[in-house]
Amino acid sequence: MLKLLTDFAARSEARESRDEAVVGQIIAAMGRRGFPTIGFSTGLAEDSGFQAVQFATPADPVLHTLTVVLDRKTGGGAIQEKIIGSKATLRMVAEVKNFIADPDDLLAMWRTDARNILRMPMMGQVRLDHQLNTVTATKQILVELTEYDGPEDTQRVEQTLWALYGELRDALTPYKRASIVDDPM
Amino acid sequence: MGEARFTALVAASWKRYNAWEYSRRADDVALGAVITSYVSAGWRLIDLESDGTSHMVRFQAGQGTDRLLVRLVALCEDPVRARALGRLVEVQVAYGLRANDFSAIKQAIKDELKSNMVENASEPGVITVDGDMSTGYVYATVPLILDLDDYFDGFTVKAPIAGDLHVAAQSLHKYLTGRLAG
Repeated sequence: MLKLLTDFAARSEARESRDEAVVGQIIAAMGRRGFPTIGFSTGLAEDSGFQAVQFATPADPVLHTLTVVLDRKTGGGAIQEKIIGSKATLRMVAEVKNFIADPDDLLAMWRTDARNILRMPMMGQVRLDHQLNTVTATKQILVELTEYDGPEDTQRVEQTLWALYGELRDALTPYKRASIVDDPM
Repeated sequence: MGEARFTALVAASWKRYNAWEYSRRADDVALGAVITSYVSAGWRLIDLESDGTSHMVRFQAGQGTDRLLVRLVALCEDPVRARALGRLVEVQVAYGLRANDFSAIKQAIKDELKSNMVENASEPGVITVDGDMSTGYVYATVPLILDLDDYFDGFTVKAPIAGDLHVAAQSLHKYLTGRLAG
């Protein structure tokens, strides 16, 4: 009887924790690349499918940080997962931080900032956002969690992450300026 | 002359700010290192909770049902405290085994209630046992206080923190197996 009950509970837990398993795979992939975690946000109690992890990028001279946000949309229940799958949005935000103090450079940055203020993020496209000494590039895609949560999916996780990373990094490289201090991240 | 001085002031401010930032994020670096080690070793992350200072992760063995829970609370995010005491974190390691019968879980819950009345149950090295009726698991837990400077130099790993957690988990596994055997 206990085995029957705990087997059911285990299956249910495995389904509910699919997004955590994917986050685990993402953190491990980033760690193997030399990008340590520097911040976690697991959302509000009523939004348990939201998880954001921020990474430092010490091995990358262009980027300051990377943030990966996984927001589960479907698949918490058995029937829902069977019919529409376990879908989540995967958003990556790459950040360039310019440690500058020259008033002319700061003024140029403020002008670009004002030009970009009304741009909105769109699915599948890179959005650039300027905020004073910071420039971010964001891209969001839709993923099926069952294709990313197992140890056999490591390669797929890495391919997806590095494709997003490469695209965002290329978009941000023109905005990196020579800094007056070493980037600590 | 004035602009050069302004640049020097900003640069010095950034250095101080970054030292503060690193101190605030040392526990997050440790948590990520733990997740990377266990997931790369085949464990599955099944739970992750964090409010920025207090973190909890739970893993399940890839080829079995054993579980590992790690709770990590930053004690010295302030760089002054960190310099005086070290980058201390309170770590609770819990090893969970799936129980074969209700009586083992009931007994574990009874033991936990008793240990809650004992003053020294939360001291380092004291092992307590608890049961989770909903999932059928019994956990043995031990609190430790670790200095992250022993494991990390900035973002560079000096010694794997997961190695020490694994040692603790092995001891808990041995203790728990003995307790469940009666």
